[in-house]
Amino acid sequence: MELAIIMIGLVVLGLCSGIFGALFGLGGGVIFVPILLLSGIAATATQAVAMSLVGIIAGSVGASTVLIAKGLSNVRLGLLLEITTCIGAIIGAIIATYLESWMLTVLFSAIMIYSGFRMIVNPERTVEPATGEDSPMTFRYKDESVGEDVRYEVQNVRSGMGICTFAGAISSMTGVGGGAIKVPLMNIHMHIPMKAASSTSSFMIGVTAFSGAITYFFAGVFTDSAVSPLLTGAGLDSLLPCAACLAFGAFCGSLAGARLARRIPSSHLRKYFSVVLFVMAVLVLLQTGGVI
Amino acid sequence: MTVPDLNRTTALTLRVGIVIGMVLMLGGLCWYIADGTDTLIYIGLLVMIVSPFLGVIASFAVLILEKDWRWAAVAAVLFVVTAIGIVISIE
Repeated sequence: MELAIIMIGLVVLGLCSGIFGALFGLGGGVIFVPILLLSGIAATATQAVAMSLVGIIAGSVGASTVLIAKGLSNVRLGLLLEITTCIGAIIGAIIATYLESWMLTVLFSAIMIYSGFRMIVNPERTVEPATGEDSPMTFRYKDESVGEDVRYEVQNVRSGMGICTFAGAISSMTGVGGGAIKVPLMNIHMHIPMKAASSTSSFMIGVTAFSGAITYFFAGVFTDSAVSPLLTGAGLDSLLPCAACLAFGAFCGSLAGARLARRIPSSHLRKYFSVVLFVMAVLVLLQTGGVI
Repeated sequence: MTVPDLNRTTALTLRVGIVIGMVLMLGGLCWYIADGTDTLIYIGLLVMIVSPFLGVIASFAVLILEKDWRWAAVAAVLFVVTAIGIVISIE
């Protein structure tokens, strides 16, 4: 009985974060990690992070199968920005040991609040390519909410790549915020339409989460029999069944979220995203303050 | 020979990876509930975790076929950087 409740709970958690993540291009680590720890499913922070990465991958890949096929995600740009994000993550993992974690989370929250304000105050500015000819940084996608092709030229590529290094470092140090920094960066700084930005981020977070998850996988986190008392009580001796339920939920949720993302107007998406940023900033600050 | 479409191929690769992973995990879950064997979930989880990277490999392959060297180089660099990242974190 207890086992069934845990499993259904994990599927539901996955479903909610999958819908949410696919819509906004966020992973959902900021929700997964505290819930897994507070509910007693994860015995340690490492277990919570490892499980969260599994949910993020399932959601990202599920959403990407739809968003890439429909041309909303910009695969080329995703690959490019992922390079510096990954380098940043490596740097972050190395310097994390020298910094106090509360400094990072405060910085992280400040960035999110700033990005949220910019997204409310400034209207979206995408750059129409001046001439009819395409530059290597000109891309297009079909916006199904208005039924039109949108053509955009990516701006500030170099500084955008630089900021992605920073975003990668912050998220590997704090464990959250891959998407929360990258989506506003792409939208505000690189002038990428909101829909393309969140869809590209959906694809990228899967690649980022992969390198983390594979390390935990081979370190034996999922097969370790030292699970929380809650899981032992339910008769489980590893995290594997829980990871499977979470992944299944996130996968189904992301398919629904991606469907929604295709239809919703870009301006609404942008408005909701800024609200999400404020809520995330508050959540992260509360976690740092030890309230939750 | 017609060059496969980048978006379609990448999306298809991701779909194949995640669907195989999901089927193995769900099958494994049933098997686990029946007699406590979790081998199939283990394999399914691995397939699913690797699937985003398979997507990167697929886009790399298409970019090479398209002779789009600039972007193929981008994919190749990402490949190397990810590998370095994994090696460092395992150590």
